Formats: sequence, structure tokens, C-alpha cells
Amino acid sequence: MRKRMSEERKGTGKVIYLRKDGQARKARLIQRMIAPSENDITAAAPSTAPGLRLVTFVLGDQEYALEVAEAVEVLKPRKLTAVPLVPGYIKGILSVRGEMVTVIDTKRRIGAGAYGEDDYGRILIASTNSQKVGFLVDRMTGVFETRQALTGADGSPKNGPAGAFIKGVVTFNGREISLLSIERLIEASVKVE
Amino acid sequence: MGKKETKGERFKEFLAEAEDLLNTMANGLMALGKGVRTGDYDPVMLNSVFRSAHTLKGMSGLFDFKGMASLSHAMEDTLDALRMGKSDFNGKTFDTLMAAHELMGKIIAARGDEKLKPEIDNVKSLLSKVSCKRDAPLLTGVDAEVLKALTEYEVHRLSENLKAGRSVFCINASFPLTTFDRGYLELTELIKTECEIIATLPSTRSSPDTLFFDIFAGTVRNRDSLIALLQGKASIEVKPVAGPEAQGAPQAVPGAKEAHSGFAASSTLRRVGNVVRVNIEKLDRILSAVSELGIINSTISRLSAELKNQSRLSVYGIELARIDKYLERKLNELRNSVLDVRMVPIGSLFNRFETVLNKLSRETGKEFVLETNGDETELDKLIIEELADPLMHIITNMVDHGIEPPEQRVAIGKDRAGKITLSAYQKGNHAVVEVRDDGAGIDIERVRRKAVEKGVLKATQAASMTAQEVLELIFIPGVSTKDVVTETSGRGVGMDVVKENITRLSGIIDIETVRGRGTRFVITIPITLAIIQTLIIEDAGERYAVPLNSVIEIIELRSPEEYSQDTEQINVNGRDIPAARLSRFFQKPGAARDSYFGIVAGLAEHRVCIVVDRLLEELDLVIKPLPGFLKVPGVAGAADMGEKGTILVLDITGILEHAVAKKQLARA
Repeated sequence: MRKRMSEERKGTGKVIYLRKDGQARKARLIQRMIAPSENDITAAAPSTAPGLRLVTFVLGDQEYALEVAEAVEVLKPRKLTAVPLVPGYIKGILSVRGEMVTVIDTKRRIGAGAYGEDDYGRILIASTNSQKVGFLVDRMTGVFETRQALTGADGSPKNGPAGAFIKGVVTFNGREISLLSIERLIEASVKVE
Repeated sequence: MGKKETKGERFKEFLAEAEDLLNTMANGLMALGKGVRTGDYDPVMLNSVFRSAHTLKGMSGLFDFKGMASLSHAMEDTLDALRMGKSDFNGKTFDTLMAAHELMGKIIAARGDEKLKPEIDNVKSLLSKVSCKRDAPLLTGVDAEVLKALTEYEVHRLSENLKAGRSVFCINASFPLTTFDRGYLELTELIKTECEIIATLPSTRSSPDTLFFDIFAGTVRNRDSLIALLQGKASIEVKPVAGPEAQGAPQAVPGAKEAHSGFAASSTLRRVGNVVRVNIEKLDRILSAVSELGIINSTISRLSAELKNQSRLSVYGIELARIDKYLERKLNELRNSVLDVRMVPIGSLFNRFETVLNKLSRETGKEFVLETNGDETELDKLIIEELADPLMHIITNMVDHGIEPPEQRVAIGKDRAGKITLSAYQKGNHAVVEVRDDGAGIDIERVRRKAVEKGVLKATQAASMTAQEVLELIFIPGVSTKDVVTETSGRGVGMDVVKENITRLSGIIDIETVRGRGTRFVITIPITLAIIQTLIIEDAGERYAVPLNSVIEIIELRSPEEYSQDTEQINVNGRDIPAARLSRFFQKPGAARDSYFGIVAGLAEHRVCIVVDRLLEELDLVIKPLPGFLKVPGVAGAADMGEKGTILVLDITGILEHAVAKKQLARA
């Protein structure tokens, strides 16, 4: 574990393994994973009462987030295996240490364009109901903690076409970040508005 | 693992499981023991012991360990009385429970309970006594070990003898197996002239050619005169047990002790079963590693072939190829042994239906006999478990719809009891599991009518269907032939689940039925899904893996004479079979080519020809299910090929069924 991390810091490793313990530790790891190359990081001051921990990323010109608790790991681009007869936003599958993971073209899913073969920056692996899903993103931006209440809740028109997938919006350092719902992203019946 | 050993294997499994249960029970009892003096106890612990006893009862029943089953039943009763507060928790109760537990250990150690029957009866009676708050009879001077071995009546006689001032002896006698009945009779007749025989216990010292007995006898004679009486009759030893003759002999029953020496294992921590129980996930991990090694192996073989072609390095190439061949052989060995570990005889599943049928018999008032064949047929543990539900559904359906009530059966000249036959056999890489009843059979016209009534298909469609196609309709949700909904079935759910489960296992199910004679379900399934031999093919630029276990032959098709994009049937060896271009099936654009390859695949009697662009290589792959929310027709799962990425594994059954459905549709 330690060896891998140091590799990653040197920028040679491909994968970072996250341990299940401690959200704070995980947040630190994800941050480390992203920070060196994309020094856009501004972590919130550590506080005793945990608020909402978010891992943020960019899709097109918008910043989005998932909860740190849902994030598993971040992978560099690799070959995906296309699957026939599935909705177009399913980019393919990927084996993550023996487990088959569906990879979703997040941009296409939320109606913000579509990725090509290899013009995405990272695959964010997240899990919900013990099922792992990969999300293509342009780049990871950071990890932060906030105690703000989410504004512009479900389906609010100002969220645009992606509204159906957004749990709410927080503002951080003047950036507006939309928190996505994994459940809705993978539920085929939920459509772009 | 030899096939003949499977009964033994299953038995070993049972022993190992029973040991686990006894261990759990021991822990629970120990925890309970701490509260003996105060009379209170942890109800959670009590429940845990109760559950163990209950499970043990069920398992023993399955393996025909009647003594064990009845003992655990008695223990369960006692524990239940405690739980319900019907009896007090005191030292006596605790000791009895411990004794019962110890005896269970002995039964397992002895791998049988026939020889321990008296002991079991005794402990059982003790258990029933503590649960109704009555004190067991006390016998001073008699070793508890002996008491344990005797039945209530025998204990009673023993105490009567002692009360009368007689001595009780233990006579160890041994007879050669061939003449034991005569010798035994002679000896007991002789003993009876002077003594009362209290009990005769077969001893565990018995060897294949010699039988040993411990005969407990009460007499007024002393030891020497008893020996004199029995002199020369058989090889015997006489030991005092209790009463005047045993006075001053502290080790009252060396005989009895010896008799139980065979069970010494129960007091040691050593386990009888040489069985390691492993979570199947661990085996999956090993298999994944083996599969990846196989991929590395194929890479090496490719490299060696390249080396061989380079004149300067060909020597190394040849050497590398030789080593690679050896590696391949060893890998196969490794793979086969890991697969073998996962294999379980299907009898373990078949046996479960005995109890199910008993229950169904009580509920429906019909009578059944279960017959099983091919119990030793081995299948992957996971597949066996996946088969449990489908078989259960089929059997409940047979019981409900197929088998007639006893009176009706007698009236038409059948046996009162309906016969359900479960059989299994291996057929190449597949296993065939058959469920057959001798009931009324399926009324095809009725199914046809029902399907139309329920709106599953139009009357015209229904009328044009063949009997076999109509039979297939029972797998459609909502089609059920019985009008009354019963406890067990008739709701039109079940048979669709059967189909779904079997399909998920890459298997296929066929029905045959004869009015008045019965119905037969034939399930053809792969023996294992863990690691499969696959053929890697390419079509429309994508690679797929085709499981070789269902491939019958591969043919080359020249375009356009033998195959064009629109060809839907291909004649193979004089038989017209449905053909489908893979890319077309997956609704992808596929370019026309000069030649194609037709993969003729099939299960049971069904055939389909899958047309692809190119054949690449053969690989052993560990197939993984697709992520939960991805359901793709024609795809059974995916496999990780290490550096070569991930590949989709085709579901031959799915494609086949699609082809068959299409054919039906076209005709209707």
C-alpha cells in the first residue's frame, strides 16, 4: 500500500488503492491523487464536526461532485470494452481487480456532450449499494468539506438539462458545484430533461 | 477425487459440518456453564445452542443418522423447556446437556451411531427427565460411563441387582465373525443359567473379522466361579462393575472404559474429518490467477514461435517452446485440481427433496416416492446451489399439477404413490439433470387455450404452433394450467423463474410429456462456469469469447455462395439450422467479406450457427458476471485477459433462444 502511494506521488503509478477506513484518510488520499498535477486544491480547514465531504471534478465547463463516501478510486484512461445493445451513455466495461465495472460517459449521460475514444482525463470509480460504477470525467479538481446546506434541490430548472441527476448545489470559493446522484445516473429510466 | 468415493466425500462433508456445529455448541455450553451456580444464563447463548441442536437434527436426518437425529431432538426439547422457563437451569441440567454434547462428539468420532444406541437412549431419557424436573435414579458405585451406556430399563435392572446384594460383572467376549451368532448364543445361554443378563453392548474394538461384546450380568457368584463357569467357551474376560465384588476395586469398569477407547478421539482436540472448508470466493481468486497465468502462457508461446523464425535465435525459441509446453501442462493440472475442489456430487442436492416431498405430501394429501439416479455426478458447487430453486419449482409443479390424487391413481391402475425421479449424468462438458414424474402429463390443448385467454398470444398464432412450441409456453410468466391457486403453486409464477435461472447458468431446459404417462424436464447445463475454454473470435472489429463447451463444429463459409448478410438458415450436415451474423445480432454494422466462419453451437437438441469474421485463438478464461444493472441478450459475462483487456463472453443459449423465437415469429 505504502509503496504504491509513493509511486503515485512520483507520478508513475496508475492506481491508488483506498482503504475502507476513515473518510478523512480517504479524502487525503484522493486529494493527493489529484493535487500534484492539478493544483487546484483548496481543502477546507479540518473541523471536528464532519460536514459533507465532496470529491469534485469537471465535465466540460461545469464542476460536479460526488460524496467522498461514494468514491472508490481514480483511474487513468485505459481501454474500455464496448457492450452492445445498451444505452449509448454506457461507454463499456472495465475490469477493476477482477470485478466488472460499468463505465458511464458522464457527459453524455447528463446531456453535456459526449466523450470520444480517449479524450477523457480520468475514470472516477464510485460505488453505490455495493455496486461499482465508473464515471468518465475531464479532470479531478479536489476534495473538500462543507457544512453548507444544498441549494437548488432536485430538478430545479436552473440546473439545466442535468437537473434530474443533481441532488443539490454548493458554492465553494466562488465555484458552483453540483452534487450528482449515482443512483439516478445508473437508473436507465431517468432521462435528460 | 474418484467418482466412487463421492458418497464418502459427502459423508465427510457432513462430518465436518457436524463438527463445526458441535464446536459452536460447546462454546455456547461453556458460556452457559458460568451461570450454573446462580441459576441464570444468557438467553442469547441458550438460543445459539438450541439452533445448533436444531440444525444438527436436520442434517442428521438427511444422512440417516437416526440416533444422532433423535438425540439432538431430545436436546432441542430440553433446551426449549429451558428457554420457555418450563424447567430450571441447574447443575444437573447442565451436566446432562454436556453429556449429550459429548455423546454427539462420540457419534461423529465413531462415524456412526448404531453401536452407541443404548448410550443415546440413556442420555435421551436423562434429557427428558431434566426437562420435567425429575431426578434421575442414583446408582452408587457404578461408573457414570457404564450408566451412560445403558438404557433406562437396563439401569433400572442394574440398580435392582445391586439392591439385592448381587455383584455386577462386565464380561468381555470376542467371537470370530464367521461363527459369532452360534458362539454368542451358547455363551449367553450359559451365563443365563447363573446370572441375569442386564445388557449386551457391542464393543467398538470389533475388527472386520472379530466381534467383541460387553455383557453386563448380575449374579450372586464371585468372579472366580463365574470365570470357572465360562471357561473355554469363548475368549472372555470378566471384570467386576459394582456390588460386593467390585468393592476395593477403584477402577470399577476397566472393561467398559476399554470398550469406549475407540472414542478417545472425542476428548482430544484433533478433528476426525480431514476436510478444509473454504469460501468459494477464495477458490475464485485462485482460478483468476490460474487464468491469468494461462494468458501469460499463451504470450510466451507466441514469443517462442517468433524466436524460432529468427535463424540466429531459433535454438532459444525451440527451448522456450519446450519449457512453455511443460508450463502449459502444469497449468492444466493446477486448473483441473482447483476445479475439482469446487465439484460437489449432485446427490447432496437431490437428497434435500426427500424432506420437501414429505412436507408436500402432508399438505396435498398425495403420496410420493422419490427415486434418484446418478447421485455421484459432479457439478460446480455454485451451479448446484443455483439448481436448487429451479428443481424445487419443477417438483412443486409436478406435485400440484402432474401427480393425481392416490384414489384416482389406483383407479387408473397406477401405484398409489406418485413417483418422482431425479437423475443426473455427465455428457461431455455438460451435465444433464432430469426430473420425471409418472403423473397425468401436461394437457397441451389446455395450455394453448390458457395462453390465448391470458393474452400471451393470438388465437391464430396459438393454432399454428406445434405441441413442442406450446409446451414452451409454460415458461412464460402468467401461463399456468391450474385454475385454483394453492399453497404450493398455481399462481403462474415459478416456471418462468426456472427458465430464467437455467438460462443464467448457460443451460437449456426441454420438456417432454405424454398424456396419462407423465412429464419429463431435461436440463442441460455446463459442469462449471468458473473457468471455461473459449475461442476468441472477431466480428465487426470487436473481439468476443465463445465458450467452447457448447461449440459443436466450426465451418468456413465462402461469400456470397454459402453465406450472405441475409442468410438466416444454413445447411450443416443435411440439417437446416438458424444462422445469425454476430454483429447483426448485436445490431452493429458489419462489413461484407469474402469468407466467414460459422460457429455451430448447440445444447441438447438445439443448434444455432453464429457467423463471425475471424477466429483468433483459444484461451481458458474465468468468466465474471456483468455488472448488476447491465442485462445484455447474448452476453453471458465478461472475462479479464490481463494486459489484453476485458472481453465479452457470448451466451450461446441466449443467441440460440433468440434464433428459435425468431423462427416461431416468422411462421406465425
